[in-house]
Amino acid sequence: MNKLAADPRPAITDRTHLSRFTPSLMPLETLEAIFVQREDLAVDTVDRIRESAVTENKHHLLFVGPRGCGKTHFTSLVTGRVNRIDDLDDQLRVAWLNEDETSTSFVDFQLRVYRALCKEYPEEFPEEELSPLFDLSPEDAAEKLSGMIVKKLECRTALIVVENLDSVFDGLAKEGQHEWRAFLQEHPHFAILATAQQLSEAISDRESPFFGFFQIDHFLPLSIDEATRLLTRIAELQLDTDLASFLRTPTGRSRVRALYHLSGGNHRVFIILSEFIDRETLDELIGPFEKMLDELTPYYQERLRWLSPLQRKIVEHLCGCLRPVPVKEIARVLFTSNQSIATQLKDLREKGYVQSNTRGRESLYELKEPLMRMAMELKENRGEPIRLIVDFLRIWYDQDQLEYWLLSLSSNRTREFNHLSAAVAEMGEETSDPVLQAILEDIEQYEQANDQQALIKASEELADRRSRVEDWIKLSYLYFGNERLSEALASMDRISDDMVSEANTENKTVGHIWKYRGYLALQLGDYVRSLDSFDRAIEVDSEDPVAWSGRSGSLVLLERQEEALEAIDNAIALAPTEASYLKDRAVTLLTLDRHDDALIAFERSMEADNGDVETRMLHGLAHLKVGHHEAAIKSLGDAIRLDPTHGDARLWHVLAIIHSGQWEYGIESLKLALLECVELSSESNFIFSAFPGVIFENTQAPVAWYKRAAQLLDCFSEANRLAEIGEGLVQSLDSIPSWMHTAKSLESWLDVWKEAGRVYGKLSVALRMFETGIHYLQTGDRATLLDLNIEERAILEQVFGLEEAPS
Amino acid sequence: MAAFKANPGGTLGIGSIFGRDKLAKLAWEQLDQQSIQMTAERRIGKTSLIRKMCKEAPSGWVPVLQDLEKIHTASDFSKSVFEKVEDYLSKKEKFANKARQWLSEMGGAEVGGVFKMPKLEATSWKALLTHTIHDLVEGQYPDRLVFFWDELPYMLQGIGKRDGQDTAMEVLDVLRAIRHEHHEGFRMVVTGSIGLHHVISTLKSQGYSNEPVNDLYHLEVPPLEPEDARELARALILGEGLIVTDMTESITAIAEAADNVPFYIHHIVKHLKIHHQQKADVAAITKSVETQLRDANDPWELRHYRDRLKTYYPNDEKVALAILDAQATADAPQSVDQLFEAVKSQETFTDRDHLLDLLRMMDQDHYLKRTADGYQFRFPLIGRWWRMDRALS
Repeated sequence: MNKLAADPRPAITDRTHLSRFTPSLMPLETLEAIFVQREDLAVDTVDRIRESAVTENKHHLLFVGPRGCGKTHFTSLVTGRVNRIDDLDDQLRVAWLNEDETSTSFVDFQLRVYRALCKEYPEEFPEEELSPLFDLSPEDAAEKLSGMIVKKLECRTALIVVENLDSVFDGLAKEGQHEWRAFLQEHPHFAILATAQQLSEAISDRESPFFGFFQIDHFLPLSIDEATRLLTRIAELQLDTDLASFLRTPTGRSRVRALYHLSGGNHRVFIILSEFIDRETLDELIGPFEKMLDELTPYYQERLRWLSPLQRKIVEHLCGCLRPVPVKEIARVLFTSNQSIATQLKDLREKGYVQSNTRGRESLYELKEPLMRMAMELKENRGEPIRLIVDFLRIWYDQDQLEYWLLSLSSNRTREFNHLSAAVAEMGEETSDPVLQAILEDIEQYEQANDQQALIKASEELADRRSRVEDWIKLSYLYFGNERLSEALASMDRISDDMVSEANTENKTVGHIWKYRGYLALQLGDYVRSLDSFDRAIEVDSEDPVAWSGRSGSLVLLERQEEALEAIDNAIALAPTEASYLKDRAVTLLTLDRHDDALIAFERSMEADNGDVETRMLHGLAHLKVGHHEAAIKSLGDAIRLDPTHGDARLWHVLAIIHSGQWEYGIESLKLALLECVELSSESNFIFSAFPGVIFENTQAPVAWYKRAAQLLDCFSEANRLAEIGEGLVQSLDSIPSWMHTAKSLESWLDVWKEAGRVYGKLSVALRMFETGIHYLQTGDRATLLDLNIEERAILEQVFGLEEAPS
Repeated sequence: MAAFKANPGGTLGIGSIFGRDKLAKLAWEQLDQQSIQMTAERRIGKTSLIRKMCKEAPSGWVPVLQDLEKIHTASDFSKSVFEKVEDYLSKKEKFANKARQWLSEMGGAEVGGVFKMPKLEATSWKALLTHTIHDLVEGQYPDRLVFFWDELPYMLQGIGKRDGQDTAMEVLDVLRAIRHEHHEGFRMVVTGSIGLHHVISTLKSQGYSNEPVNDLYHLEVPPLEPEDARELARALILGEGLIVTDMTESITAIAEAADNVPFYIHHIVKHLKIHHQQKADVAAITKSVETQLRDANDPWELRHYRDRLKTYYPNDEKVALAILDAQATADAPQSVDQLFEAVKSQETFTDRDHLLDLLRMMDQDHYLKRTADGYQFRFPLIGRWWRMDRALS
C-alpha cells in the first residue's frame, strides 16, 4: 500500500482501543462502529426486549456460539442500545450478571441478580438490605430475596443478562435450575438475554427444566465478506482511509481471504489481526505481534490445565494440525484406543475445545479456537520463527516489501531476520502462495455450489493476484454470464499484448480474445471499438469468417454499409453455407435499398437455414418495402407458422394485410396478435409507430380516418396495450406524409386522434404530446414545445431530430 | 387488532393468549363441582391457560399459582401450602389458627410479626397440610381459594427420590383424603410436563394400589381451534411486520402447517422473520417448516417423541417404534389388527391384549388418537416429522 505523505491516522498509541476479551468495556459508539454480520438480529433483539418491557410478553433469548465469535460484543451492543431508549427508563431494569462470579445454588444466583441491579440502581436495590439475609437458611434467604427483588421491581420488567449460561446451569445443578424456573413461572416479570458456548444438557434435554424455554439463535463464524467488512470498519474507526479503501480492492480482499483460511471466521482473531494489518514498519510489526501472542499464551495454558492429561494431549496434538483430523489418526499418534479418544473428544466438544465435521462416515476434529493453536505454538517454538507470523507476512506484504525490510535490517535483529527470511524463502512459488491457494480452494467450492457472486469476487482476486490471460478471460465470462457487460469488457482490456506474448498464447486464443472483445463492445454500443477489435482478430487470422462477420456487423451499425457488405462477402467466401452470414448480407443489402438483391440474398439464406423465423420475417419486410403485399403476407405467414408467438412477425403480418387493402381482416388479425403476443422485441416501438399511418390506406376521407382510428384504439384497449399505441402515435409524428403538411390537414389529423382517443384516460398524456407535435409541425416554432414538461419535450425533440435544446 | 412478536417458549401476557376463553370457562364451571387434572402434550399451552385462568378468575374465586418443581420433600410442600394459605388469610385479617397452634406445639413461634417455622419431623407434614387446608376451608368464606399446582408430577418424583416412594404415595393419598373431607371447600388444578399417569405407574410398580386421582375431572388441553390459530398467526405477522401478499392464505398456511399448536405457530413466524427476509407467502412458509423439521438443532423440540419412548415404555420401546413406523407410512388410520400385523412383522410379538394396553398408553401420551376408522397420529405434524426423522418413504 502506498501511504500518503501527510498521514491523517493517529499514532498507534492514540488509536481507539479494541478489547480482545472484554468488549463490554468498550463504549457503545465503538461497538457500533465495528459491528458486522448481525445487524438485523441486533435490531430484532432490541425489539423483543422492548416488547418484554412494555407488555406482559417476556422474551427469553439465548445466543449460542464458540469463544471469540462476538457474543459479548453483541450482548454489550444490544444492552447499550436498550439503555439508551429513554421511554424504557421507568419500565425496565437491567441486571447484567458478573461473569466471573459463580452460583452453586439458587440463593447465590439471586444474590448475583440483586447485586447487578444494585450496581446500576443503588437507590432502588440498596446493598445493605442484603445483610440480614445471611442469618437465614439458604432456602429462606432465597425465598426472602426473591420476594425482595419482585417487590422492588414493582410493575417493572427486569432484563437478566447472563453470559455463559451453560456454566451458570452447571453451577446451579438440576435443583437450582428448577428453583429458578419455578421463580420465573410464578413471577413473570423477567426477560432473559443469555449467551452460551454450546447447548448444554440443561437446555437441550427434554427432562431439564429449561428445555424449550429459550428462543435460540446460533452465531455463525464470519464469512470472508463479513471479515473484510469487519476489518474495513476497524480501519475506518482508526481513521485509516487508505487501508479501508485497500480492503475493498480485489488485492485487499484476497489477503483477507488468505487470513481467513489461516484462522477461520473467528471474530476475535480478526480483531487481533486488525492491529497488525496497517503496520508500516518492521518495528511496529514483529515485536508487537510476538508480544500479543505472548500475552495470550498464559490464558490458553490456564485453560489447558483444567483438562485431564489425555484431553490435554489431544488438544496439544490438535494445536499442531492445520487441518481437521480423524479419530483414528489422533489415537494412533497418542498410542491410545480409538474408543478412548472418541470418548475424550466428545467431552472436549461439550466443553467447547474442539469441533467436529463429518466426511462420509468419518468424524474429523479440529480446535474450536484457532487462537489457542496460535498461542500454543509460541510456547513450543523455542526460538524458531513463529508459523503464524511467517504466514501473516507472506499473506499481507509483497515480496518486494519483505525483501526491502530484510536488506535494511541491522545485524543484531535476529528475531526479525528469522521471520522475514523464512517468509521470503517461501515466496515466489505458486504452490506455496497462501493467498493464491486460498483463492483457488474457494473457487472450487463456489463452483460446486454454483455461488456466482462469490465466484466472481474470488475470480477477481485470482486475476488480480496471478494475472494470467485465462484468469481474465474466465472472469470476463463470469461477468458476461451475470449480465455485467462493462465489467466483462474491462476484464478483457486487462489482457495486455505483453501478457499474451509472455504466455505464448496460441493464435487461436489471441483471435478469440479480440473477437470476444469486439462482441462485447458491439453489445455495449461502442461500434468503433468493436470494429477495431474485429480488425485485430482479422490481423491474427484473415481466414476467420467470424471476425469478418463481426467487422461487417460493426460497419452496419456505423452506417458504413458498402464496407459492411464487402466484409460479409469475405465471411461468406470463407463459410458459404453459414445461414447467419447470408442473412446479414441480405439485411445489409436492404439497408442499401438494393431490394431485389436483398430478396435474392434472403432466399439463399432461407435455403441454408433450418427454418429461421427472423429471416422469413425480414424477407416479408423486404417484400413489404417494395410493395409486394401478397408475397410479404406469405413470408410473414411462414414466420408465424414457425413461431406463432413471435410478436414482431405478427404485427408486421397485420400491417402487410392492411396495406394489401384488407382492412377488416387486418383489424381482426391485430386483435388476435395483441392478445396472444405478450413479448415483443425492442423494435416493437417502431412497428407501433407504423400503425397510425395505416388508416390512410385507400382513403383520404377524415370520417373514414376517424372510424379506423377508433377501431385501432379499441383493439389496443381490449388488449390493455394503449400505452404502446400512445407511444407509437407520438413516434409517428415524424412520418406524417408530406401531402398532409398543411395547417388544415394537420388540424384534421389531430382532430381524428383527439376524438377517437377521448374516451381513453390512459391516452391523455400521449394525445397532449401528439397535439403539441402537430402544433410544432404547423408552426415550425420550437417554442410550441414549451407546452410540455422537460421529459416530454425531450421525447418530441428526439422524434423531430432537434438534437440540441435552444440556449 | 392484536399485534405482538413471536415468542416461542417465552412468557405470554394474557392479551397474547389466543383461543382459550371457552376452555377457561369450562374449567371454572367444572371447578365448581370438583378439582381438575389438566393434561396436554408439551407445548400445547397448559401454562398459558393456567396463567389466563389465574388472571381472569371469576368473582368468588381466589387462584393461587404454585410451580412445584422447586419442592423436593413432602415437608417443604406442606410448608409452602401453609405459607400461601397464611398469606391469603392474612389479607382477610385471619390466620391459619389450627395449623399455627399445631406448629407452636412443635416449637414454632411468631417473632416480630413473622411466624418462624419449627424444624419438623419427617412425618409431620401430613398434620401440617391437613390443618392448613382445614383453616383455609374455615376462613375462606365467602370466597373460595383454588390452588394451581403446576409440575405436581415432577414434585412427586422428587419426593419419591428424597423422602422415599412411600411418602410420594402418601402425598397423593392425603390430597385425595382432603378433597373428600372438604368436598365443597377445597379445590386444586394439577398439571405438569410429565404425565401424572407415568408417576402413578411407577408408584404402582412399587406396590401402590390406590387410584389417587380418579376423583379429578380430566381436562385435556387441545391445540387451538383453526380460526383461533389463524388469528394468532395474523397477530404475529402484524407484530413482526412480515410482508404478505394474501393475509388469509398466509395465516391459513401457518395454522395448518403448525397443526394449530401455538408453540409451532410462534416458531414459524419467528423463522420467517429471521430467515426469509420477513416474507410470509405460502412458499416461504412451506420452506420454513421443512427447514425447521429437518434442522439438526431440533428447534421444535420434536426429537423427544422418539427419545422418550424408552422412558415411557421401557419394555415395549421396539413395539412402540414399530407401531409409529407403520402409522407414519400409512395413508389412512390403522385398525388394531393392521397394527398387530405390522408389529408382528417387525418383532416377536403375539399378545394382542398387550398391544391394546400399549395403544391406550400411546393415546394418553398424545402419540396417537383413536378414531372410528382406527388409530392415527394425534398430530399430523408429528407424523410428518416421524417420516422425515426415521427416513421412511
